[in-house]
Amino acid sequence: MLSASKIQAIMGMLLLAGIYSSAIFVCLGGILFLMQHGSENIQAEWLHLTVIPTSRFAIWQLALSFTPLGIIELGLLLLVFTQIVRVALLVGFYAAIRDYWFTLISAFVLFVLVYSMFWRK
Amino acid sequence: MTITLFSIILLAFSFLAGLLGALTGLGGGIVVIPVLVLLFHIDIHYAMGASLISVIATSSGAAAAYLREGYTNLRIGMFLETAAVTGAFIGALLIAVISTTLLTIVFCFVLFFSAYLTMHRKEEDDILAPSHTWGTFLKLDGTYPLQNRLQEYHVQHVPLGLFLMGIAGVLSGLLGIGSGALKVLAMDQALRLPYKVATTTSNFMIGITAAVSAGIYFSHGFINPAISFPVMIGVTGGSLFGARILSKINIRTLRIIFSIVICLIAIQMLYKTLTGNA
Repeated sequence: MLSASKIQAIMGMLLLAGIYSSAIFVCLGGILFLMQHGSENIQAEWLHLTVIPTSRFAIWQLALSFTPLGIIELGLLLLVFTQIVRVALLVGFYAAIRDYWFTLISAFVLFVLVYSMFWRK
Repeated sequence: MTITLFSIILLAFSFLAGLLGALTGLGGGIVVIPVLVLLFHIDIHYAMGASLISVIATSSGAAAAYLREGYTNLRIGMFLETAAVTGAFIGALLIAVISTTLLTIVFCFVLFFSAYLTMHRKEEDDILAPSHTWGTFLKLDGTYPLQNRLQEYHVQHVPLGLFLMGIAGVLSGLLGIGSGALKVLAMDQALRLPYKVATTTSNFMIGITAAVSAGIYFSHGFINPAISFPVMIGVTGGSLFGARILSKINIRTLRIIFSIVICLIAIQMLYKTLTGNA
């Protein structure tokens, strides 16, 4: 039987694993980025000129391109996806202990979270 | 200024943001946004994108420790999160039809008043008052560590808390800031929770609410990897450090820090509105 303290421990480990793996990607990408561009001057336009993809496909294309900015992007996406996993974990936990009100409550939060990821104007 | 120097300065400020955010349950936006906008003249949308990343990182970094130590109330967090995410989504949709100027000014005064209320609550008096019926039905009561033992607490005014959480969501969707502040206030002032339970449960929730907005920000291209990387690393370090020292900080100090920070948020928002720099 899963207890509330057990799930808190599992959730804690999941969040730590998520943030550390995300930070490793972000650090690695950041260091590579600074090695390439670190000595350049920041111009007011520079940050606006960095091309940032907006479509889902292009975001993943950048993330999997293994360029420095792509590796950072992958880390940031991992951080956001950890949030989905933590809510999904709670849905599973409440379903397992047959707490139907809280299964419903967590499933609703999960639904809005996933829906917002696919929402486009 | 070189990009390396920019990244190092941003990293240092982000560490501070993560530390304050983890201790107060407010996330790191309060430090990250003004530093990017006022100090580095970066477009507000990229600043808000980086701020969302800082909120998610603070929430994840600190939540692990708070869950392990038994401060966070997962049931209250998830229950209130239903209103917060719904509100956040409605707020994001309303952005086209509502004038945010008046709303911002009203919200600022709510924050000043809240700072006053935060300083004046004596929680020892009412955490043991009987629970609201919804609190009993949904088993929202809990315990938290206090001076080497587990202190029991009950929850009050659950419908009011849920309503405030919905308002917090709408405001964060509309104004992009302030969701953590109202979350802590709703749990402290309406639910009458012990302060550290309120701040740590807010800390758990803000990562989920921010992830809802982050999906939308990614699709607008407002999350810039070059700006976000020092923010993410600095905030993570700060929040892990903050989570380690929370149990050693007394509640009075925490209330003072929280009140100062929400006054700063209010001043920052008034400045942005009145100067049109938003």
